[in-house]
Amino acid sequence: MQNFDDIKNLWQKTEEKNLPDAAEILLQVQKARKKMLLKNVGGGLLLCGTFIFIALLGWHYQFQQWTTRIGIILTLIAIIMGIIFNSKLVQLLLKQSDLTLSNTDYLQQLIRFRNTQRMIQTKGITLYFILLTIGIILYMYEFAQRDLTFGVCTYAITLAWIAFNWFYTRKRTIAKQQKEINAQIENIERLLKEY
Amino acid sequence: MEFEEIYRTFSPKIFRLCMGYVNDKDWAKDLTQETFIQVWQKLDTFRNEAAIGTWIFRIASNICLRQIERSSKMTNIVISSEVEKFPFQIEDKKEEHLTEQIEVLYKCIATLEETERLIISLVLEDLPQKEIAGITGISEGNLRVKIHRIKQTLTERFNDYAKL
Repeated sequence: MQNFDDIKNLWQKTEEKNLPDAAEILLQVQKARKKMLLKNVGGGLLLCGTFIFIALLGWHYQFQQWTTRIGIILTLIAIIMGIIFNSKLVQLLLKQSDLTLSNTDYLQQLIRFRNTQRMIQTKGITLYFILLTIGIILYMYEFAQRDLTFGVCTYAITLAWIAFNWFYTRKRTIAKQQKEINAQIENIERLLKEY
Repeated sequence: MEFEEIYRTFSPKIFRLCMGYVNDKDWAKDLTQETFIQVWQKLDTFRNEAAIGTWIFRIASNICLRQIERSSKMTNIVISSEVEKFPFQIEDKKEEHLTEQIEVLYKCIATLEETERLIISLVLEDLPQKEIAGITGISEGNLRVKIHRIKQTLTERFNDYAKL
């Protein structure tokens, strides 16, 4: 029969002999920094590239109307926004988390982040669709004008497609994301309740 | 205190805490490493308002807790007799017995709830209750009751397991 003090003695005898040494940890820190720097540079380059691409597009094709150019710009903004909301948002939020808080405060902070994420994603998707729709409609205007029948047909098909995405894909995507985030929040709340 | 000294003093303790939480050696090592990367990055923001140990334990326990965001593995840590043996260096029979006992201990801790695992690990590290209250954010009164209960549960489970 062992009592708690025996257990404590046993616990303190655990020694992991293969832990990396301090120098290796510092090496990891440097690696992480370099990676972060590369990522930031990469993101900046991507953004610059996109703007150059827009400029070249406008210059090369010499579109007659301003609607076409604005259409292209809005569409590209929507796409960039989509990429950011989908992949970077969570990391951005988590990077701000303060690990030196007490456990209960930290968990509450995580819940707040998840709620923010939920709000931004829902609004983000809606905004994404609105920008994309306006962008496409404006973009097509110049070409549709040239031939009325062709224009009406193209608009009808495009708008039907957009409507389908708005009422089906958008709702489904939001529901799926909400489900994931809600599960996360539930898990964190369960931990908080244990305390 | 220099980083290297901090690391030498606290890394075995932090490893045990993480091991108590995840009961998986490689995972615990990763978490220990993650903790000290954070410690290094935040060291200049540390203002002696608490003991450095408390501060590091707070970071480590939060890193453990946030594993719930990263994987569903966390929800099904179960006691398994087939759990891989720890590659502690075994020199003789006595040491072998010790290794087995340590394994049993970690298995028993793994049966507790996540937050209980953290609390008991801090108790096993001999941290004063006041500090544990500061790390977890629970009131001291509440904590005292909890610690008493967890100690009892763990001792019972450990002795039950030893009988098998």
